Amino acid sequence: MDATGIGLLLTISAPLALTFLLRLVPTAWGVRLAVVLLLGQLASFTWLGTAAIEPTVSLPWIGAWDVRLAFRLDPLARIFSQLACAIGALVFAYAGGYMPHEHHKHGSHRPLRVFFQLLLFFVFSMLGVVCADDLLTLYVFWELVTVASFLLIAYHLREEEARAAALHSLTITGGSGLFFFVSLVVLLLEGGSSSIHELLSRPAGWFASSPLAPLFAFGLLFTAFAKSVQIPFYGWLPDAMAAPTPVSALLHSATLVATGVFLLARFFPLLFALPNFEPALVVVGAATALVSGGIALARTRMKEMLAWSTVSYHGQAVLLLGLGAERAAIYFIAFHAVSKAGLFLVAGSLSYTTGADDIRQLGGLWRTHPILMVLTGILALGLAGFPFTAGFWMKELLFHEVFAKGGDGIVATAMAIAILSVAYLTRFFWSIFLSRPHEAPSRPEGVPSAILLAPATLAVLFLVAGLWPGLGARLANPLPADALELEVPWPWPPYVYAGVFCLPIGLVAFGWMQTRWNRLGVWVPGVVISPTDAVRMASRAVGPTRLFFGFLVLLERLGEWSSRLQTGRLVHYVCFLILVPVVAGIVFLPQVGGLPEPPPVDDRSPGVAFVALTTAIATLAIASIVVRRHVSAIIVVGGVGFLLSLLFALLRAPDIAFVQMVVETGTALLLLAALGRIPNRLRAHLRRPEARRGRAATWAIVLGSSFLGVLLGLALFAVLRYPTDPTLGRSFYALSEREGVEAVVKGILADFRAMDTFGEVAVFAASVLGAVLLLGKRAERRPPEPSEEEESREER
Amino acid sequence: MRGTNLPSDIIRISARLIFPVLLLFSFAHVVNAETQPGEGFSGGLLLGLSIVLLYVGLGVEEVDRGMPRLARFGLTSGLSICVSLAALPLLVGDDFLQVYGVVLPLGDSGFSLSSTLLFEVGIFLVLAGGTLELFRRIGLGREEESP
Repeated sequence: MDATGIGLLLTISAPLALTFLLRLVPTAWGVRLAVVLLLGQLASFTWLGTAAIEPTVSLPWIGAWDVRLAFRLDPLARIFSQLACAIGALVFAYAGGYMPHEHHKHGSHRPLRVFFQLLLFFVFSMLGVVCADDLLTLYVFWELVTVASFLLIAYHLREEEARAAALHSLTITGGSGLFFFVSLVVLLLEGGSSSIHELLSRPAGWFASSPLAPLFAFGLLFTAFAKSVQIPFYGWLPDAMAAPTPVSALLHSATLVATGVFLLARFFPLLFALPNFEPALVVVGAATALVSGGIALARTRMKEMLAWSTVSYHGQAVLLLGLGAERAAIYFIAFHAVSKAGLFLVAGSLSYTTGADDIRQLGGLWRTHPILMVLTGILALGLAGFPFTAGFWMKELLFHEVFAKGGDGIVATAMAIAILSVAYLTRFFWSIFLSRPHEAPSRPEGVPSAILLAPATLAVLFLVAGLWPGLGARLANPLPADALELEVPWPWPPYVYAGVFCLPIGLVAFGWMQTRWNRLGVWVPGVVISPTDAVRMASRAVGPTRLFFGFLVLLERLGEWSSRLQTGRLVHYVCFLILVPVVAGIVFLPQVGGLPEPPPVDDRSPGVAFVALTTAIATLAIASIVVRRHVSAIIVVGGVGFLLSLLFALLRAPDIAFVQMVVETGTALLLLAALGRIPNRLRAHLRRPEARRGRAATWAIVLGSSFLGVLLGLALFAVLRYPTDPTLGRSFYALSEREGVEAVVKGILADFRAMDTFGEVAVFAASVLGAVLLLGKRAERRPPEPSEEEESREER
Repeated sequence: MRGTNLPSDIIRISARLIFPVLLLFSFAHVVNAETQPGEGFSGGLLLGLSIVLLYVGLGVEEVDRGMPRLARFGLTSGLSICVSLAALPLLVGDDFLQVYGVVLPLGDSGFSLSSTLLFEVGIFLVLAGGTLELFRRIGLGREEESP
């Protein structure tokens, strides 16, 4: 690990440190610190990215499996971490001004600090995901991202809607995490290494021939689709709009959702070689983009429109990946993040200044909010594909790839997607700023410049990247050496015509929808339902949220069904428990080749552990004399017994250790139960024996017990000194070997000395019967009513 | 009195959860005795204790409803198994406590089965039943005595 590696580790973990630091400083200062920190991280990642060798850090973690806590800043990681830091800094700057409004609107009383701590924690885990260079590291940070996102969506804890949305997203993203884990384990087993860099740098095709490769691909696709809100998981993102607006801007447009695409891009070299991988991406991506584009058109709440549009754009990115255009997909994701984060921030500003979040309540704001209008125009219309913005190049890239590699169906779908996005983004812009003004409940004060700065920066970036396409391509490309060629050749090839053609068509579609659409109607007996309502009802009936709840209902049924196995009757449990091992034994026993070799016996003397254990036993034994309460005394004596059993285990006598453990537990329990028979009053009295007895009696007891103890000790010593027959043990060994008995202790107990064992069993049974008789006799002497009832019930 | 004496949810549920594991473990302890450390004595004791755990977690009545007379069944059947295993060889002219064994053709090295396993099972049952009966007698006294 060299200096750049240490720099990388520090840069990644800085947000975590600040999370804790935030407790110590006033929140306003904490936010400023966070902005500075994130800008510093941005600079740091940029600088580290220019290093001659990729900065790497690798710390040992789980040595036995060769798992390491490893990070590496390769070009892909650099772009995503720069994106997270840049948008993160702007969102923090914005949230400092905006969050008080959000709190006011929701009547929240949580300290603002918590919000920023959660957001910083999210940034930390996000950076961990993109920079991870070890499969387990990647997985851990992946789940941290899920947890952070869950906490942020449920930020307004008191609101039912927020909690439901958080649960929805956790169920889907967290559930997919299990598939992710399976994929990673498959890769770990097949590749024999947990280093991502090492696995990816092998010659192509080593993995495709593996029989487990489809399992890996399935798990990874499942995870990526769930995280990047592809069909059929696409419902959680629009629900997640219950989160505060800065969260939507950072997590749900720029970073969290993009991790799905990041994952696909990360493992692209492995996945690309698999058959059917590309068609799966193309079909799912195109379907997601098309369907969610249609739904976006029918929504009226600003954040929901943007959320569905985000789903649609991520579908397009997946489509691009499916066409094999990895660099184009990354460019697409990066600049979509820039524009969509800006749009979310603008939507937040609008809700801040007008108090409304439904476009039907807004309108005619061009008069009062010209700056916001310009920003929205650049970001929304640019994203729709109008020239002079990065959005234009995004669409050019998409069409270029689609025309070059896709079939006619894909071309038509891509054009439909583009037309839809022009229509809903224009609608977003038009109905807020240009349509007839409504009587929106307007707040007297304007928008503070602090929360205008962030969207303005993003809009300028979006515009600059559009005007100087080479600059944008260099910013969003893994390797500067082979940046994307962004130019429009002359004469125009068909894909440019198609892209330009979509713009007026989309505008016409929007105009038609604005004037006619809602006058059309679907006839349902008695009522007319407008197409907007129809789409909304359809998506409610068969849409993703419905899908999710269907899934929940299914889970519940499954739970009910499985709880039927819990009959509560022990007989059933026992039958089950016996049947399973028997069946498993019959099925698997013939396949087991024999027991594994026992580990080599360690012949060193027990040493330190032995001394420590004996000391602990002696201490506990003394403590058992000192403690006052009977229960404590029993527990301490039990502790002595357990430590003794550890001692036996240490001396490699597992049989005796186990017996000791069980007997000790039984004894302690029996003592406790017997203690229960002594009435409380009597016990309290017994607890202070000196109070009842004179000093002389106490001394007599001390002397007497000491004498007994010394006598016992001497007797034990004598027994240990007594010469034993050293051939006895060996003869038993020889005997077991001759008889083919593997477990010598068992052989002695049940075979060679079976007569002794038989006698012991008889003695045990007899003493139990004696105890039962004794206790039963005592029971008769007690007050009659309850005990007789109990006895008779027992007799039955 | 009994209503307030009900064990907490945590104890109830953990007793339910732990019990099957202990049960399986105690069986395995006896069955595996052929090749691994373990025998009927500690296995039986463990089974008895695990049912005591159920008494604590679910209450005596509840457990009795699920498995009436388990204690006596264990004691009597275990003793009969041990005694008959010891005595039956006499009938065919072998020694008292003679051990018979077969090797089943399962797996690579064969699966050896001998009458000592049955003997262990007998010990197992005696221990389990005896422990249980003892605890019932002592443990039941408490609830009756406290007014």
